[in-house]
Amino acid sequence: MLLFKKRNQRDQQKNLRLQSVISRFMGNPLAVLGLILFSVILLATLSVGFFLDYEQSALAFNIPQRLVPPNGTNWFGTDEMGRDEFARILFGARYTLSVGFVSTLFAVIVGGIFGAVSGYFGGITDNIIMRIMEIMMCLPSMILAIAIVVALGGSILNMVVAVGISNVPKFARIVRSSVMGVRNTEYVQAAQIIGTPFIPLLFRHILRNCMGPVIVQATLIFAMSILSISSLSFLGLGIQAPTPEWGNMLSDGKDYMRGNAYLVLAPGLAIFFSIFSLNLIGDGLRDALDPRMDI
Amino acid sequence: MHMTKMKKIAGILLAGAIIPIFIGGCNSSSSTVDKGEGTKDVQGEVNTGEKKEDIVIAMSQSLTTFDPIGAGSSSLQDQMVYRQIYARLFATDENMQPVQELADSYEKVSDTEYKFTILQGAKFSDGSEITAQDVAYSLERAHQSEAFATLMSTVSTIEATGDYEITITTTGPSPALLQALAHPGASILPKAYVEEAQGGGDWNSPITSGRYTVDEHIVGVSTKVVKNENYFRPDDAAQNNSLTFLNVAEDSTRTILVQTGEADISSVFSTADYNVVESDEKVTLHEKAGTTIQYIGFDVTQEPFDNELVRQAVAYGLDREGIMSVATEGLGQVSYTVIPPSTLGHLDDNPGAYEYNIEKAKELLAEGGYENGFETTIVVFSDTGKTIATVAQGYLDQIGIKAKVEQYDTSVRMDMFANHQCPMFSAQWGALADAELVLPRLFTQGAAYNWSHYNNDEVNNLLQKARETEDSNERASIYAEAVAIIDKDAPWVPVYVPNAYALANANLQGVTLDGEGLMNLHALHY
Amino acid sequence: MVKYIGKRMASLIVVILGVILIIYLIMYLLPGDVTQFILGTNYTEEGAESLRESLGLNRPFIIQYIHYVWGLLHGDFGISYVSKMPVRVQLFSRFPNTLILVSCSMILCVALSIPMGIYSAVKPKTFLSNLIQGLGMIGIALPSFWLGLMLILLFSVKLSWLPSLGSVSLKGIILPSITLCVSFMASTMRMMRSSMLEVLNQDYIRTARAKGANFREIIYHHAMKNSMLPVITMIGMNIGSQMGGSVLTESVFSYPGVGLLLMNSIASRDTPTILGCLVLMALSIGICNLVVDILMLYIDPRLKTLIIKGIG
Repeated sequence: MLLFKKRNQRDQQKNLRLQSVISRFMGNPLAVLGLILFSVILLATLSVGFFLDYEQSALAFNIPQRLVPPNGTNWFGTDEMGRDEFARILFGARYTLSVGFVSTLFAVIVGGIFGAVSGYFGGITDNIIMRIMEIMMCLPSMILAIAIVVALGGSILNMVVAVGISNVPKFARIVRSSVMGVRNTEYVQAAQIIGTPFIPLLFRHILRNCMGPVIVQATLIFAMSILSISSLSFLGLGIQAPTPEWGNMLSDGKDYMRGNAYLVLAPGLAIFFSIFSLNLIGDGLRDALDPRMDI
Repeated sequence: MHMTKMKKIAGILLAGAIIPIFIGGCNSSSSTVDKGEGTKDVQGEVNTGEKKEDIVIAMSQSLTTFDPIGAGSSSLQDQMVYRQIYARLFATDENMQPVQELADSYEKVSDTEYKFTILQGAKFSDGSEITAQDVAYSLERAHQSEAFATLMSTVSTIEATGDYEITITTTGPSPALLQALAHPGASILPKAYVEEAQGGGDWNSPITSGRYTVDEHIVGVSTKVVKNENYFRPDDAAQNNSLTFLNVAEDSTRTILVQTGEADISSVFSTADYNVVESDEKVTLHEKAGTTIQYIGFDVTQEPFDNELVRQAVAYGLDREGIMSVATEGLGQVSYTVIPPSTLGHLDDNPGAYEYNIEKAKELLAEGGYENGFETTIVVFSDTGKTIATVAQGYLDQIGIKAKVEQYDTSVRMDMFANHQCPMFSAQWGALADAELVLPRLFTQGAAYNWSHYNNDEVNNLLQKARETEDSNERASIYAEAVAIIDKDAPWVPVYVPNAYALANANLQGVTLDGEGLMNLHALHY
Repeated sequence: MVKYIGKRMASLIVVILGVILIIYLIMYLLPGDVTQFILGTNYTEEGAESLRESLGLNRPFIIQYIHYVWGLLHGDFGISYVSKMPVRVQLFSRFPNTLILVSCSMILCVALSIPMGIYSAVKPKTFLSNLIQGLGMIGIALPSFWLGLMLILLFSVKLSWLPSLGSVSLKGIILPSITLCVSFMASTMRMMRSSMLEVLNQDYIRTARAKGANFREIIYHHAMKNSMLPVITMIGMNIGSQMGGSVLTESVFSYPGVGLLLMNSIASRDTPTILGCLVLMALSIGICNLVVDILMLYIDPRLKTLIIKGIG
């Protein structure tokens, strides 16, 4: 009974906290700018399929129309195969953003599991897992990603793993410290004495406790993943032509960059604005969750 | 709180404004080239200094090895280096005809015997004398090697028959022999050095016989060669002090290097930059009709390309004009036959021409049992190859063939072909003027460059017949017959004959091109 | 003290062995038969078998790994499949170049980002401070390879001030260093700023200011010293990321470093060289981290006491 009441109170507190976080976030013009920018990018990406046919506008080439500078019909001009650059940028977002998102999700889930196991069992398990995480932290993400993509090939699934894996330790650490913190609280101990199963309790608690830092970290890492993916593709190791991927398009366009600068500008700016807006959102979220910090 | 945030935004907007300015700067660089000032700057640098004695050549690949019959021997870029550092009995002139180099004179004793006399007193770079023994050894090594065996297929023995005399016996009249001896594969090296290098595996400081000797070789980066003071034709020695071959894989970077004066000449010019360099007075684009051919080949021993109908379907499915306009801005000549116009036996009016026809392609594909298409891989080894393959990929998609494009380094291609790892490939072949040095090396079983693993007895017989024929008109018609059969079988889809280009500093003198590209690098000077 | 350093080095060895294990394991998965590449056109089944035997390829993975590490201890990185030269020779001809590039970029990064960070923390409401922060946000989001292309267009092609080809020379290293350092500069600057702000908000600084101590003195003597710690840690970690980033920068500028060697050997599927490049990079990062750790000991006396007490 008491527990129930307490829980109710907590829920109310949670709602209150969420509201204040949202209002703080919305009160930060930079964060709102980021949110608007990213929403525009996302909306354009999601809706492009309704207006344009992927095969027709992003893959099928039209050689007489090659290298046309930006104009009314081709807003960003056409590339060396006569494909509309604007359509390719929009369809490219599908790959870059979704691979970035899934690889971040991969890192969150895998990192979360490792962190929870490590924090829950402690002792030698914790020691081993954390040592492995430390080793992975020592490898720069770019080098690890290159190694994986070279060994396994640049398919979309491999890209997800290659880019996601180096971010696993970051999430493992957050979740681990949260689990360790909660294991010893009176509240959890009390619950255990009553006989409430520990694992679901832990889950709820982890969710509540580290949601904030995980979301902030995930937003920033999403941005980093976009950079990694386009870097790999730029090096020719990632997603292969003719798939419109931003790094890929940059790499193709650079041969023409002096006569047709828009071919490197468009994908470059697309990468830039995605990362920029996600960073703003991440910073805004951090400020909103932890008002003391001012970065 | 709010004010500071607004100011932050203002800061970002301001900083953001810098990017467009930056971009604006970049944009104007391409549209309005500021020639007046720029020219002064760069030329000033060149003219005010000492006469530039080191010529920097931007290459598209780095040197694989100094062994002239080693892994890099089929690369035009490697051959360019070999030509500078190694002498052969014969060199080639602009029209690819042999002229004496180490050979002082030669005599055709009979249909099966040739005698060559080498220059007396000629020396290697270490000062030791070039003997007939060295020559015979070097030629025999090429003769025995996999890469050049077909080049010297009519040769039966090579022997030093005097201090300065080499006798080559052949199985029959060999009209193409001199050209074969002019190939970089037939470079002359000291016997002792080669034996040592082959034993220890270290080819990195070769003793040379040509106009230059090796000064410094940084794997993957650059190769510097300096004038060989011991070169045996002092009157025809290098006109510069040294050549630096710089490996610059990016096409556009090579062009920029020549434009900015960082390199003096670029060996492989990417036509994507054609308009940019046209309007630049600091550089000159040298041009010549090409003797190389760009093609897409099949491994005819692998499914589904062991099926002639499938190969023909692909040949119908590719629009050569379209590919050429993307790959070279349309600068070149589309080709429906496997050898370029400069080679004996070229077919002007090709009966087996597979002109672009999607319907026909789909029909043949269905007839071959692949109405739903299939998946395959196009393997490429250069940027041009990649561009061609990428366009081809689009055309193939139209007839239901899903192709992947994979790029590898040139150094592994011989192995990949030998191991049947390239179902489809996009490559370039520099064809010599004599078909004897072209067709047998490409289309007979066991030949090192028969990357298609093609074999046709009819073709083999014709080639053998041509080998035994002396009259050049008669040979031309026999070769033409063979070419027609090969074209019909379609182990290749010939795509186009690109023009040969070299982009050089406008002040650089002595630029000569043959149909494969840059030659006579020793004559380059300011 | 010595004990701590010893302990730290021991854990470094474990970490480095782990890093090599991970890379070795990944490369072990690389498809394709090695013997086919080595033998090439001379490939026969028997030849391949005896080659496998002599290369030790049919031994269990872990033995191969130990063998490799044992070789590394003797400076043996194996033989390149392509150039047939010891991988070590190529690596050590390139490694100094990468080291020079990373150092130049580090110096540039530190020299610019720290003053900028301090300025924007000390005078947060000025125009310049806002500009610095704006640039910082943009800098973090700029893809370095794209920035490199843009710099080439502007400074080499348009203005012809600087060469477009990266090289180890005064002029040749400017553009690659800028390209490599921009995003690190932005993040270091932001770190410096926030760390400085935090210190400035601490009670003792406030008290000192209230007492009327010289503001400059406070900043330079107290605040800066304390706020540098997290920044130095971050710079140490950045060296690793810079090594990784150098792969991109080097391939944009054709700069002859380990990164370019890595890309070239990837193109020729030269596994021993790929492995050598990756291991060398990881190794140097591990050593960098150790140096930073030890450096921190001297900078932060608090850490020293902690260690002496046995907590570290």
